[in-house]
Formats: sequence, structure tokens, C-alpha cells
Amino acid sequence: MILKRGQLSELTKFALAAKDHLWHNIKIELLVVYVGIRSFNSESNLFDTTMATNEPIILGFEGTAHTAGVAVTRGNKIIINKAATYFPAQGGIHPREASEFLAKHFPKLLEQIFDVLPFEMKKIDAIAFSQGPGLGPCLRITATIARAVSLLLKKPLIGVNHCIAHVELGRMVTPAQDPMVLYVSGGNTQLITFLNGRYRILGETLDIAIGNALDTLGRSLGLPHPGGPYIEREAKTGRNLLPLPYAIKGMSFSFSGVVTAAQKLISKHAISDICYSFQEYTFAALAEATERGLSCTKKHSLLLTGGVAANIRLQKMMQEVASEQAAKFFVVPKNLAGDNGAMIALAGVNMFRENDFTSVNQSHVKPRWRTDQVEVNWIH
Amino acid sequence: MDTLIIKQTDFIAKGAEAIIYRGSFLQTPIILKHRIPKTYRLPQIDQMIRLKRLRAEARIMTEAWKIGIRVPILLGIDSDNYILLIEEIQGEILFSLMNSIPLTQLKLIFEGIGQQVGLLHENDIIHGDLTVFNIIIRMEDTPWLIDFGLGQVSTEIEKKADDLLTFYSTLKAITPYYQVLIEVFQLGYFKAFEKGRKTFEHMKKIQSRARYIAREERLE
Repeated sequence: MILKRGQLSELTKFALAAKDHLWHNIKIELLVVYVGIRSFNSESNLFDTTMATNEPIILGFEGTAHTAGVAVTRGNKIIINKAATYFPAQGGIHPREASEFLAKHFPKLLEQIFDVLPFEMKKIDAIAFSQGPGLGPCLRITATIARAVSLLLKKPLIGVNHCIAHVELGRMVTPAQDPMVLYVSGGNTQLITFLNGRYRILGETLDIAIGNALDTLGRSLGLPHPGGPYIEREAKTGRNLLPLPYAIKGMSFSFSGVVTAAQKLISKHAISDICYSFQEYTFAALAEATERGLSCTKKHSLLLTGGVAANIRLQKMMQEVASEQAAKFFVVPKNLAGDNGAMIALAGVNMFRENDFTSVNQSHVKPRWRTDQVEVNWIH
Repeated sequence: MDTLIIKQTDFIAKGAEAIIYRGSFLQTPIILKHRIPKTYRLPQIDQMIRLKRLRAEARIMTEAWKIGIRVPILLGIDSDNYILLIEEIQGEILFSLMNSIPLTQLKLIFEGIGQQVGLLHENDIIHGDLTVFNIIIRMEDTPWLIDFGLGQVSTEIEKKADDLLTFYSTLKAITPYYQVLIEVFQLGYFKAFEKGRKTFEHMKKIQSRARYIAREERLE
């Protein structure tokens, strides 16, 4: 079957039109699943997996919070990677607004992708999508689009864990081998490593993620969203270290108390000094936890991934942690540090090779899906 | 340093925080623990943390020793150079034994650990970093607790429960016998610590606060 562009956008438009009428995103999900199941009688001949090669072509959808990302990869190579990011007009991310943003942008991104795709759509071997963790409304939109495309192309779905996708991306675009991973972003902060068949969380934030902490502090300081890059810029001119808590519990860390303490310094001290001190204290806690992780597990690589990985000061600290523990340091390139479709597609490649597919009726979203709940069968 | 007589010193291990040397002091084998500066953090932060932990470790070790918990004896402290002199416990780190000794012996060890930790908590001492990396096994099955750098004295049930949680979660990551070992650990813990069950219940509460735990699991 050769699909035309028109057909595809019709289906996504149908999903979006349904959204306007039905109000609740969950109903679109059911509708698309229903349409899908009606058009193909049984699950067994629903999908065509005969094209399986060692260099599978995967279409990846990322949509867990503020970023709508669509990418196509072949084997370990990223062919196209497109994204649109939602910026809240004020305050932080509003889940409903973010989900509406995703619903609006996925069809556009898809059209852009198919405009430049160097081969026919039917060559795509599977559809990977971010099944969780993340904001429920956003995940539902993403899952809906992924299901629609999957049913249309008659290609199987692969439900990918968002956190693991960040790790897989790092493993595939850098030479890191069996690394200790520090995954730092707006929604998650985890110290992850592979042990006995799963990615284990050795340490994680006990309250909010480091990116979230930076954004919150940024807003209190009157800096634009997202706060991280602005705080980094301010911190460069900071000279005075102000006292803040140093919050580390074993290999876990917490940041909300540090944010509160930093907020209390506002109006008494220069913004640059607050930013500087905040970075120094919180990153030092991350660095110490990472060093403990390396020291305990004796891993030889350290990988920094996630949106906050773009921070130069954090990279420098991690570099030193790695050399202290005789490990090699790797960081994902800046353009792939934040959420993107390519990481979902690349994780999908690994899962595809192990035939780790997700059937439509198991493709419900998992907003609280932990990194250590995933059976990792693609690492031997 | 001139008051200390170290006849022979050799490097034995490098941890995340400190370098450990073996030596002898007044004809007893000793461990010299040097908390080294960390270049990744600012010198001000670094010195504050090292001094805080050095003092905590010295204080907690002495307290624990006084109430009869199996910990090495503190022999000396040099806070200008962030160095502790500690009696050497000759044995094996529990982590390195986990996969090589039979389960029956492991069970014996874990009951012993439960007892020691129970005794610590009964006396309001928090270890702070209770993992299989910080327990030394001497004479086949006698556990000794080491590394009190993150320790503190506290009556808070939250902190005691945190100790258990750290212990359980590292254990879960490294051994398939997790369930069995936890059971015997609890046996020893409850024996030594009357209110142990409450701490255990509280640990479950903390666990349910973790990020992304599914609702069904929270209710367990």
C-alpha cells in the first residue's frame, strides 16, 4: 500500500476534530483505537513486520510535556529530527495548554517530515512513541497520533520510556560504553546505570527536578522561561558565594529547599550572585552523588544527558568527577540534550531489533512509568 | 602530624570522598582516612563539607562505640588536614562477599546486621549511608559498621526509616535473595529495637512518596 500525504493528514485532522467535539482527550484515544480495531479484524495480521532488517527505519514521536518532536531514524542514524516547543506565556507549563500545543503541532511536523523524507512512507518499519512518564494530557495526544499513524501504515507500535530514551540516545550518539548516567532535565533528575537486566536508579531527586528548580528560581528572579540558560548566563558574572543548603542523601538529592533558601536572598543580593551560588550548591550535590555512583559500581564511562546537560558549568564539574574516578566523560550534543523525537526513535531501534512491540490495547499512557520498571532486553 | 607515629603507610583504596591508607600506630594496625579536596566544587563549599563530615564521623563513631556497637575505634583526628586515624577491622567488605558465600551464611550475617542497626537506632544514632559497601565481615559472619561520615544523632523516625530505605534499595539492586535477606535483617532489627516495627512502617510511607510510583503500588 502506498500512502499519500493527504490521507495521513486527514486521519490526524480527524483526531483533532474529534478532540474539539469530545472535549476529553481520552475519548479520542478510544475512538481511534475503536476505528483501528474495526478496520482490522484481528491484532495478528494487523501489522506487517516482514520488513525487519538490522537497520530498521523508525518514526519516533516525543510528547511528554512541552516538546512535540517527530523524527525518522535508520539504524543508528538520525535522518530527520523536527520539534516544536511550547513556551508558557506566564508561569510554568500548564498541562492542558501543553497538550493543546502538541495536538496543534504534531500534524504540522508530520507534514514537514513527509515533505523531506527521502523514501516512501511504507518503508518505515515501526512507530515509536513516548508512552511515559510525563503529563497525562500530553502523553495521550502523543499516543493517539502514534496509534493513528501505526494503524494507517500498518506498522507496529513501540512504547518507549522517555527517561530510557534519553539514556539510549546518549549511548548511540556518543562512544559511551555501559555508562553511569546522570540524566538531568526539567521533569527528571536521576542517576541511572544498567545492572542485572534493567536500568537501575541509584539516586534521584526526592522532590523536584533540577531543571524545574532552575525554572522556578528563574521566574522568581524575573528571568524569562526556561530559566536554566538565563541563570547560567547570570551566574558567569556572580562572584560572591551566598550560603545555601547542600542537600544530598546517600546518592539522592533534593532541590526544593535550596530554591526556597535562594528565593529568600532575592532583593538582598545581586541576581548574579544568587544564580552563581545556586548553581554551585546544587551542581556540587549532583556531582558528589555521581562520584559515589561511579565509585560504588566501578563503571568506566560517565554520560551526561537531558536538557540541563547543555549547562557548561555542570559539564565541567562532571568532567572532573569522571577524571577523579578514572572514567571517560561523555555528554550528548547540545541540539539533542533536550526532549526530541530522535531519542524516542533511537530507543525504538533497539527495541525493534528485539521485537519488543506494544500492541494497541497495551498502548495506554503511563504517566508514572519508572525507569526501573522496564525490562531491558536489548542489552546483553 | 608530628604527634602521630605511622611506621608504614600504604594506599589501599580510593572511595568517593576519601583516600584510605593502611599503616600502624603504636604497633596496632590502623586505617588512615584522608578526606581529599574535590576540585569540582568551590573551595569554600568543599572545606565546609569536609569539616562537617570529619567531625560527624568522629563523633558518631565514638558514640556508637560507647554503647557497644561493633565499630572501629577512633584513634586520632586531625581537622586541619581532614584526616582520621581509625583502628583497622580485618575482614572483607560485605559487597564483595555477596555473590561468593552460601545463603545460609548470608542469612546469619544479615540477622547480625539487623541487630547492630537496631541497636544504633535504639540509641538515636543514624548511620546516614547504610549500604553493603559500608559493612565489613570479620571472622566469617560478624558484621562491623564503618563510614559514619553522613551520620547524625537524631530521634526522628524519618531519619531512621531513611537508613533502612537506603539499605533496602541498594540491596534490591544487587542481590536476587533480597526478600530472604530482608526478612532475617528485620528479625535482628526488631530484636534489638523495640519500636523497630514503627520505623519499618514509616519506611514504607517514605517509599510511597517516591516519584512515579503507580497508585496501586502506593496502597500496598
